[in-house]
Amino acid sequence: MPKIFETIDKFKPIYDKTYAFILFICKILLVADILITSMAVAGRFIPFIPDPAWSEEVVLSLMAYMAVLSAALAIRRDAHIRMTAFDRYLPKKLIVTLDILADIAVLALGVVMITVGWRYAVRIGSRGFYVSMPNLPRFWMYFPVPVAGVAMVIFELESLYNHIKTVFSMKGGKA
Amino acid sequence: MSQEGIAILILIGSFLLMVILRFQISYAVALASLFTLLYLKLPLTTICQQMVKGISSYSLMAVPFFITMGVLMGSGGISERLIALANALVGWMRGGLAMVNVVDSFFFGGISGSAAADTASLGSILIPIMVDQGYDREFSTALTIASSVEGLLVPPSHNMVIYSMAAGGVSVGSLFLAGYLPGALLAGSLMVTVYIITLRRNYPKGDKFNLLHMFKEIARSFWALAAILIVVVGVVAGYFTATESAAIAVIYSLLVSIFIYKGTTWRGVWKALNECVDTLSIVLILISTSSIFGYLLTHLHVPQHAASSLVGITDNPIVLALLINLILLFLGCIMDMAPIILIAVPILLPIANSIGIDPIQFGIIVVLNCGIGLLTPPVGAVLFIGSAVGKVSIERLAKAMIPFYIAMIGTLLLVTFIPEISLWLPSLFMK
Repeated sequence: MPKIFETIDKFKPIYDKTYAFILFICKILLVADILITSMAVAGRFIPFIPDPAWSEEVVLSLMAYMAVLSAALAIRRDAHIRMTAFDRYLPKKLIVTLDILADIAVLALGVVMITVGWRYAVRIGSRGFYVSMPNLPRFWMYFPVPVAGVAMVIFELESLYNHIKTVFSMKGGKA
Repeated sequence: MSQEGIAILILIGSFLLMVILRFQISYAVALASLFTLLYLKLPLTTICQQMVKGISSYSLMAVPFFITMGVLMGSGGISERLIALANALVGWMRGGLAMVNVVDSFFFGGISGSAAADTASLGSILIPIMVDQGYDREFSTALTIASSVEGLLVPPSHNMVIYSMAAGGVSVGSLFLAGYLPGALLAGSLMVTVYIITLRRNYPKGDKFNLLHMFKEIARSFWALAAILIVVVGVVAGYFTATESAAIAVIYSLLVSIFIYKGTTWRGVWKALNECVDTLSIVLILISTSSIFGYLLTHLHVPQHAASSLVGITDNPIVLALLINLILLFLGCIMDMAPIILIAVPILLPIANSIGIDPIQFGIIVVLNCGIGLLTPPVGAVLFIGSAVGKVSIERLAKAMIPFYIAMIGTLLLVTFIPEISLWLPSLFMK
């Protein structure tokens, strides 16, 4: 197997830490969503608990960030739903080739989401604000799209690398 | 071919091609939409607008909350209590433990809302006990996975919330109520099947019925079952929205699991959140990217084209209803539940409406079809989980499933052709 793989493999701990950090953020976002929504409900029935007007918009924005960040985690776990029904009938080499093709396509989608998403978020951000929080630009509402792109690219690169490595290890095995 | 025709071909053709080529479905829908936008020379910012719009629905928040509630309750030790309750209720019948399996899924599924969680959690406890008592391993496993579908129908089910979104905002409260009778009907049909098999194979009876014991078990399970009451009564009575009730139910489940059942700790809860994020990581992005796909389906009038094509084959409503079921069953055999709901509902709902099927009833039909799909080869996720939990090969398990498939298809036909099964409870409480 080429030596370059040994060099690149040294980055794996960084990926592990990134994964753990993003998972931590996602859990915090989920807990925040639950607490804010519960507080808003309780605030309707219990006088001393606040029922802030911003709760709904904040909860939705937090969920958007959680959705895009956690989706990137699923790329690393290879957990996204895909049709694997016929895998057992296909040669392993073909499966890895298809995986590489999918990785490249998703990588390209990630790049589109970064560029188009960033431009849109900046444009919209300069024009409008959250309804319930007049000081907060709507940039933060659309910012999850480029964030999704970045997170996708980070973990797709690793996935692509792993699949290419598998191809080389298969060749090595045959030799 | 018109520009619209070519765009539809690009949208659906490239999506199907990518699915066959094993692309992740969440990203295949986004890529197919991207190709179509490029062909139609529509602004690519549509991707941003629709992705954010898709995920910015307050009703959708119920999905992560219900999933979290199910995970917390599952890790908090309710499985054993619910099995004991089901045993006290129906364990005395012939084939008692098999009946317990069916009834338990009705309760547990209601809390977890997930057929996979039901199979993994209850199966790992019940299948070994059933085998010890003389039931066939294949039968025990097949029954466990068949009964797990009840949980998709019995409220609160997060799939109903996803359907509500895909169907353009159908009342979640009505969908919750609509699921009860079909869920009970499915349980009933499985119990009849179990009874017939039990008589033939002479499976054992359980302990004698004891009223005092039953009340004791109801009291032990009360706190778990109350979570369902909070959600269903809260939503139906109009105290909360589905999302609010789900958030309250999460806090309630947390308190019950830690302080009353003492089945978990704060550290355990933090760990259990990993499982929630794992599930959500697949579901939420799919909802977000499907929103772009759904927008283009509407933009290109695909539902209208599909309706006129299907009506072109036949205008007999019975045949059309059967065709819709066949399409959904076929999709269920090759795809997972959430993508089917998000992609097929916007296309099939107008057709169902045109032959007089109410959107609420159609929701139950879709969920039941998808539920059956989860148990069928080649991609039935629950079939695979059952095979692993029950230690039975897929082939033997699929063979043992045949009587249960018949029972489930029978239930599906009743739900399809007798609207009152789904609509009676909503009409009673949701005026």
